[in-house]
Amino acid sequence: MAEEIVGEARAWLNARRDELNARFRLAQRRYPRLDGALVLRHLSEILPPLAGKGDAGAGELLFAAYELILLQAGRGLLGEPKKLSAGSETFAGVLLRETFPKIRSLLLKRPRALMGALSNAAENLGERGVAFARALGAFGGDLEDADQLLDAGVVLAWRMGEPRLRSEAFIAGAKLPPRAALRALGLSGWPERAAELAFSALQADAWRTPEALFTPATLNGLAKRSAAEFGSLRKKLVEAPPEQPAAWRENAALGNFSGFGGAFDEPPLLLGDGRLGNRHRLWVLSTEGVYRIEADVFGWVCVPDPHVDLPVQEVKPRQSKLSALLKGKIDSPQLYPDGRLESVAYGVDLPQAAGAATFACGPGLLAFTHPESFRVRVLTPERTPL
Amino acid sequence: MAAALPPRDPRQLSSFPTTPKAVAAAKHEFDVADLYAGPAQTDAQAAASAGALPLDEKLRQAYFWIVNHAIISPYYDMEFNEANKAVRSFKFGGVGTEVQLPSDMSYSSFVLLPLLNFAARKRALFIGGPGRGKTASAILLGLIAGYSLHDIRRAVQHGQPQMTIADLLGNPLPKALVQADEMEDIKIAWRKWIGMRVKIVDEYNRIPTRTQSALLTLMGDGYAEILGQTIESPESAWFLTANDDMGGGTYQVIEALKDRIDIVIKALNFNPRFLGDLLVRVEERVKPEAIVPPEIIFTPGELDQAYQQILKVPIAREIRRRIEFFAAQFDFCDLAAQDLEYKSKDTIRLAGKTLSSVCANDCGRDKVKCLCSQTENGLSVRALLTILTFSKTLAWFRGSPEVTLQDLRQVIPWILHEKLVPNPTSPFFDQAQNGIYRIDRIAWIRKAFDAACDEFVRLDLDRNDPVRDMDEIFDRGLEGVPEKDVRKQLNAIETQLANLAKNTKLYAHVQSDVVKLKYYHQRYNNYLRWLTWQKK
Repeated sequence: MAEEIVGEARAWLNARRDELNARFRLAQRRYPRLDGALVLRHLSEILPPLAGKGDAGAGELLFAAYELILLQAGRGLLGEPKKLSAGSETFAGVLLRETFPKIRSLLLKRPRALMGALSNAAENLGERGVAFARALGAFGGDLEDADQLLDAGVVLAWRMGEPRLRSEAFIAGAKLPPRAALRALGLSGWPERAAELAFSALQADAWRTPEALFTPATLNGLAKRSAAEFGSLRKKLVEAPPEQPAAWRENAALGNFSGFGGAFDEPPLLLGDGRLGNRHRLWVLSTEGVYRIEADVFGWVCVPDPHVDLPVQEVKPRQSKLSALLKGKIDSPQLYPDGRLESVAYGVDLPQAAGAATFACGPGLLAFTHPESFRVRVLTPERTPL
Repeated sequence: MAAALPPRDPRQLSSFPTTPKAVAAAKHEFDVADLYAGPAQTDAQAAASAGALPLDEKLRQAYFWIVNHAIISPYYDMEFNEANKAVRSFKFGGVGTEVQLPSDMSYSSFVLLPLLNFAARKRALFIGGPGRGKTASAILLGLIAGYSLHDIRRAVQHGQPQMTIADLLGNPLPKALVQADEMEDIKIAWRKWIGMRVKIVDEYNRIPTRTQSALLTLMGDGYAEILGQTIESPESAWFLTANDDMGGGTYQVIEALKDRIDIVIKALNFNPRFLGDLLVRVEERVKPEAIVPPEIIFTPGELDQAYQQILKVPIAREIRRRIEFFAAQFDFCDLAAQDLEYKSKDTIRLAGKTLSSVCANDCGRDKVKCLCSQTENGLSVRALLTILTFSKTLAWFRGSPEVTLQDLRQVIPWILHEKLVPNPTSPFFDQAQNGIYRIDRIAWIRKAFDAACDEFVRLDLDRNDPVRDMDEIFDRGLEGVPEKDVRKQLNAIETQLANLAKNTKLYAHVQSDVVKLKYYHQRYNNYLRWLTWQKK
């Protein structure tokens, strides 16, 4: 039995009773299992916190919420009323029950557009949808308008592992107030001045975790730095990764390569033709075909890319210099079975890469696979925090 | 599904789906907007999903409603054929006219092209004699865009010799004109049609030249200006009509305005075998413009969404190469200049000469076969952009996942109808069987496209494209490419140029290849110099 709805929400339901009932019947035709009693219980939980005190736009907000409740309840994505637990919560349930009341003032400006868009975004993020929905709620006090909410969503989605949003996230991040920008990057404890630095650093090298950019002392002293000191710090941060680093660190293990249109039968093989042009894009071959991996420090995405025609870049034993010269490959970086990476300019021993089967190499990046692993491992230069 | 109506009822819509074939999904490229798209409705989605009918299907239903009930146009002149299916044809006596029965769904250009123009937000010109339904067609498109008949009729601009800029665009408010201290203070009462998504200019060749210039700014640049005040026009579909486009109007149409017209639509004559349909209209007092079914009316949100979908229809490299090859044929003239870059018909025109006079000299080519001799000019960037947009729109309309060669073949003649100027002295037109092409421009341009495709196949350029590998390598970017690879590429370019110079004449398509190879050579060379400087 649903709790009795009181206050503004009750008045609104009464005022639009016929129309809302018609909407429910329409939804029930689309989702025959939509249960009226269950919907009433959801409404009694969700609508009162969103109703406010009769402020302008509240009716539209409640209507958008009502529509979303019908949609997600019909699809079985709203979870159980009042039985939220870590195991059973859904992105839609978290959004409607926790997040939307916290960002209500922003939603009032464009309720239907924002609620729909945020619900879609949380759903598109799959397993990360619940975390995304919950994180959105924290932006309530940081943002000034509805557009900023969508911008914050872009940065947040990127940070939560959607690397295809990276370039858009830099544009969106620049439009956010510093406090919100830092929160979106998961750096809410940082001083506001650090926001610009963090985005600049990630733009220069998105294989660095923001947490590893600064020492605690630098971070604490950031507010007191002069403009010149700040500029010099920024200059160091945006330096390209070194071509010949003193040390490399394993930065990512990309995926187990199952679920992207079918599990891989065998470990993937990296494709390449010399050096990578883009440090965040790799191609792998599986028995299913060619896949493109978009990756950075925050996550990776793997999508089929059947139009690519690149050879497998195998790790092969050393050949004589004459033989290499004849094959025209002497200038391309080579990874050898013992883990040594060599090019004309330099050579470095990487024990982590010993026994690798295939590799791809770009400026300040080595990706490789092992014959017995379904993961692509990525090494990037070790950089000292400033 | 349309509601059941009696047979031949003019409100009847074609059943869904209008194209009974499985439509493969287009290859979906990542779009940042996808983050916020999904099953939950946002404002834009809400407007579009009212009937949950795909927008291309909705436009097809509009097509079939117009062709079946509104405009009697029994001409299926935009022919499509299924691959590997024999086409039945019949040859008639006289000059040997061949009639083909298309094996795939084909269309009437007089109805289809306006709809494509409507969806692609371009500028179309209806040409044809009086009473052929030019203005009526344009008005129907206005109704399909959601305007009332009253609003559309008020918005039609009727060209006439006394038409002033004020008639076309608006007037300064008399009170503001008297009281204003600054130009910025003068308020203009803009004409309502400027803000509409469908714009109709009837008999545009009767508009005085000065007013044509104001129309040009609005049509070409999307804004209007009076007394220093401007108003922006939304992206809209333009429909202009002319009884006689060959100079028969009251005023000569200025060239720039002609150049802004993207596509030409021919209003064909009435086929007397369909007099019965006319009789029904008279007896039943049927006025199609009064009974446009609400199911085929597009909201502004739907039009925006349809346009977005159209832009996403892919054009595969193989198809793009055909366009490139075809387009390369027309601007090139080996006799126009000494340097590779200036071997263009523009050089001839700028020198005050005509192609006829230059082309009369020998250049070692077969001037019956080479397309370059057939035109006085080449294709402008605007024409190429229009080809890309309309071919995408046609493919989208047909429910095709990507642009096909047939889409190009059908749409190109209508786009280039007023843009390619034939060279009447070309030996091509002197051939007995080609004389008809002096009159029938659609057939001429289609034949030229077919000839270009045949040549493309004969040269096996799908497999032996001299620039393809370099395109792919260059597309990966120069950043981080080591010196050795740069030198390798420079060497490959030089080898390719040597091969071309040795094995072929400088034909039009070869010239465009050579220009591109030279461009790549220069880019690599500059990069190499930078690399070398960095090492120092």
